[in-house]
Amino acid sequence: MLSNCRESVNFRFKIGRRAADIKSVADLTVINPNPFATAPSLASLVHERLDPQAILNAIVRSVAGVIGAALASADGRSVAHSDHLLHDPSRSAMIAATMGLAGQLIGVVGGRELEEVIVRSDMGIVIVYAVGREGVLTVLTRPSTNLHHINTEVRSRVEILRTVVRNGR
Amino acid sequence: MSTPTDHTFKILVTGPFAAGKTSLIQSISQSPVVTTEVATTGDEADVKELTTVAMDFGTFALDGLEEGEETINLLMFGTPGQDRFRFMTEILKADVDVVTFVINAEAPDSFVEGREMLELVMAGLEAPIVIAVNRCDDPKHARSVADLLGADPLVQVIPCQLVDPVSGREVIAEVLVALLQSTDLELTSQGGLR
Repeated sequence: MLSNCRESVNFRFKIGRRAADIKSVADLTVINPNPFATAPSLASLVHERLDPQAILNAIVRSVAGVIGAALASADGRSVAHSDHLLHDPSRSAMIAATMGLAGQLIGVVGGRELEEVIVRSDMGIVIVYAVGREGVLTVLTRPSTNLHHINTEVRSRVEILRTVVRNGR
Repeated sequence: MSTPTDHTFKILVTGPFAAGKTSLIQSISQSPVVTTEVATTGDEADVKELTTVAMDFGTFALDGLEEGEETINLLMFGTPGQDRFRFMTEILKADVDVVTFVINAEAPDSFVEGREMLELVMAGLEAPIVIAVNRCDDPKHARSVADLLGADPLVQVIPCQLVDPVSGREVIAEVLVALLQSTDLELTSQGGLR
């Protein structure tokens, strides 16, 4: 089970073998103290690469128009969500159900691999990306957001999240 | 001379996680089953590899055998079993004609949850119910499981092995009996319906 982590505690999610020797963010800081006060520390860079919540926060912070992001397993279990997004287990289940039906619906056009589902409303847009076959990434945006820009930015992070989901199973 | 008519009924197939709902629909559907199965995670992965996240859909038709007899079409809607997908059951149970509640007799840990599910799914429904007690061959044991679910003593209970299509047809036979008892359709001497 994946769990959110903070700067001061050990990584609690599964990480790859190469990174397993790194016991904690604190250890990293001691090994390679950051000489630049304003630049992100190595610890925070590693953190953003491996911690699902940090990845989701980075999406919200860096992609214009995005107001929230959440990661769930394909069978509807919540994995992580960005800050300021309320924890809602039923949301993960609804997203999984939506992707389950959409995965069948793509057969209408002869599709085999579901990529994303877009739900527009007057108050905003919900975009759900398949993260491999094991996970789903939900991105919430403002109604007038440029979806092409969001797709480009978010897709570059999907592969990282795919590794996170796979390792967390 | 009466004109044959098609009658279409909606059957809800529901019950706890890993009870055999998808197996029932897959074993008896006469059309390709629409499934929404994905890989199971967490402790549920210890029970089975795949789980339904939205719905299963299958069909079963009983054609009229003789002139004047009518065709019965059953549309089977299967729900996910986990509590987190309860909203799907609420969506799918609208306008249902018969509820088929599937329970695994070899999973007594699911009986308490099953009792709660049964109560919730039947809330606001007038439809008859059939309880399919999966992985069970003994009618008395099947009835005792139904009792633990809080089912009415008059509810039809059938022991079954849902990996076996023959057993699945026996469940469908009970569903048809429940339909006959709740509608004005009649079974003819030839086994058809009118």
